[in-house]
Amino acid sequence: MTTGSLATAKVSRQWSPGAVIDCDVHNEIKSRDDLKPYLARRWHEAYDNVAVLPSGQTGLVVGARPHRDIFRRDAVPAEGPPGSDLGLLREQHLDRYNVARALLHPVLVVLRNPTYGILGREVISALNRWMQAEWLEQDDRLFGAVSVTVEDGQGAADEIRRTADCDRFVKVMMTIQTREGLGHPRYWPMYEAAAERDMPIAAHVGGFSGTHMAAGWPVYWIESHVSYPQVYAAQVMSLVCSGVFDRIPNLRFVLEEGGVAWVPALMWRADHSWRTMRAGVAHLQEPPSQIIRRHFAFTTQPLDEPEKPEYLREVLAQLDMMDSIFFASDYPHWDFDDPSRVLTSRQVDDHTRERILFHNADRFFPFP
Amino acid sequence: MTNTSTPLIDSDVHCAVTRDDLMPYVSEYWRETLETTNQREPGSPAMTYPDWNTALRTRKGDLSLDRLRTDVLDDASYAILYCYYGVEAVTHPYRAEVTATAVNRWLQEHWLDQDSRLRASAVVTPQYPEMAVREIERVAEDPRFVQILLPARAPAGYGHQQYWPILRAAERHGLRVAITAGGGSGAPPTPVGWAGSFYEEYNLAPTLFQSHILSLVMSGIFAECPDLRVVLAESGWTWLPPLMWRMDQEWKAVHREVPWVKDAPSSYVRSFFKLTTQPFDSPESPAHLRALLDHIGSDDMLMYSSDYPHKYLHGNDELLSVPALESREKIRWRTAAALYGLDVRDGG
Repeated sequence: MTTGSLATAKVSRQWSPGAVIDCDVHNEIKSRDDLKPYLARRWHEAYDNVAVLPSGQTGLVVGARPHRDIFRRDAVPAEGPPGSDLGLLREQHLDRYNVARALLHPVLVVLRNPTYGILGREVISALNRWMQAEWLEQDDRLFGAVSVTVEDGQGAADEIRRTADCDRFVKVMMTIQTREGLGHPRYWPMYEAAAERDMPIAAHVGGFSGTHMAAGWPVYWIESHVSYPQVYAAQVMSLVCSGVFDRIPNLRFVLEEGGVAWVPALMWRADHSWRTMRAGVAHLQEPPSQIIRRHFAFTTQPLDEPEKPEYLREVLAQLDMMDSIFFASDYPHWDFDDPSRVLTSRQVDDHTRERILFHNADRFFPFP
Repeated sequence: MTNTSTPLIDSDVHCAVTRDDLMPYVSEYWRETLETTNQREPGSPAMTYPDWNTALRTRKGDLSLDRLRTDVLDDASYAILYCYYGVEAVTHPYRAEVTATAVNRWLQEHWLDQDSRLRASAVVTPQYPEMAVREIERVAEDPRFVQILLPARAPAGYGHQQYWPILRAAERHGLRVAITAGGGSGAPPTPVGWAGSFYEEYNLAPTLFQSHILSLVMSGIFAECPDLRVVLAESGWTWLPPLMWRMDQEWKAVHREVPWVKDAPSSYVRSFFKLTTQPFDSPESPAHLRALLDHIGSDDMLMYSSDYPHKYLHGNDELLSVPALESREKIRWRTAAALYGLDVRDGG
């Protein structure tokens, strides 16, 4: 596990003033055919016929987001969907914002394909081969997340081990919505395989199971988007209570796109109730806030926007995890954060800003 | 424990009822049915966890009016009773309705008639709105029922239009809507399913209350029912500011979807919701607590509660002793007195 204070950590040779490590950038296939060179021919017909409901596998149509799709209008390349053109990614994002390293993941491709089963394993494996050959080996600044069959822990473990020859994969991508809480043992084989490579598990918005809200399905899209922190909180508690961190001490999670402001109150409640309800979780030997601080990290986009900017400073003090927050732009999605404008001086000091934009992630991920 | 020189209203105390208690209040048909069939008592499934029993479960034997007088009413001018009985978990519609009515009649005779300092939450059937409306109309004739009780664990947010008849009836009859911890709707208690321990579930209980705030504000019910007021009881409250921020943040981007939400969602939260003080999941330092109270952004939302007879290691004393806490009197009694229309003589 990566630990130690910034003072003792070596300053990365890739750092320069203003350099950014962007921990959440999304790439895309231009068309479904892009994966076929990496997929055994006997699976092509089934792959062509994968039917994913336009509104997700539940079939529900929850409200309407404010745009027809989820992309920045200016991020559409001449050919293919946003995120599918490496040239445009370089020009529009990597070069423009001094992005020294970008952690890529084709999240929408994962969400359009089976999350378990043999076809799911084959497609995910093809996706990782495509990722390695057509992105990670094309630009020194690109690093990736291993895509996995999120509901098939053993399949995920096999795929993580298969990709071990490519050290440009630096994390594993899970969806935040899962069939069981992430602490359920069905997911543990994946965690063990990731920990072998000291790779954190990134849990990102998306997934097919459960609701966004603790109390049933949202009615409006705004409810579905506001209620995501509830899912993140549920996953944090599931993992903390599962005891998996005793079994895999170097297991770490990056919670992406969930914000951070909800975390302190969860830690306060968990610590208070741990003192009164120890009997039911006798395996927890320390206050849960310590487990959370040791095993979890967060990305900035979307960063919480309190009513006064200085409130964010106070929330970050309550959180007390300044080594564990990483910049993310979410390029090319519509709620993109510009690294030159995010985190103003009223929210964080310059030193902290630099850590969030670069050094924290530099130390956290197993970069080669 | 508390300073008796100024008034106090305890906004959340519990009592417990059993099936046997209800027999005098049901018809001969139901007495026979309840006695001779295997229909178990309703309740929240969390009660099966052993640590629930030791930490939070309200058992009938723990509570008598005499004990409540000694432990609570000696200090308080009024106490608001909650008698959770799991009627929302009863799928048989007629058994659900008859049970709710029986609980409320038992409350009237065994508690409200016995001590004039008591006010009560009426039990209703959220799963059957027409029956709930009938029960609201029945209990509204007794002004000692000051609110209806809805369990936090629910198959949908309470802003869902299936619940609007209940919310409208409550407003029409001057009853507040109190959402309280627990519930047995059949739905799992977390967005990712069933929890592995009561501890895990307990720590996620705030997400249920967050769901209901979000649902109620975005639904537009407060434009329909401007006099509706919602009480979150035993909800915790230190989680509230980040929810308000995220609601406001998203609303700025997507308000077109909910045009009936005319102002920042946080302004609706501050206008229409009250929260009881226990459990108080306090921050780790006094400075963080001070900041949190600023973030709440209203001195008129918190109402003192003991959550009696539940035991906590700390709570109200820590909150009420915050230096320069200008809202101390409001927390102790003024906010609850105004909300429930209770006559409290200043100076006790």
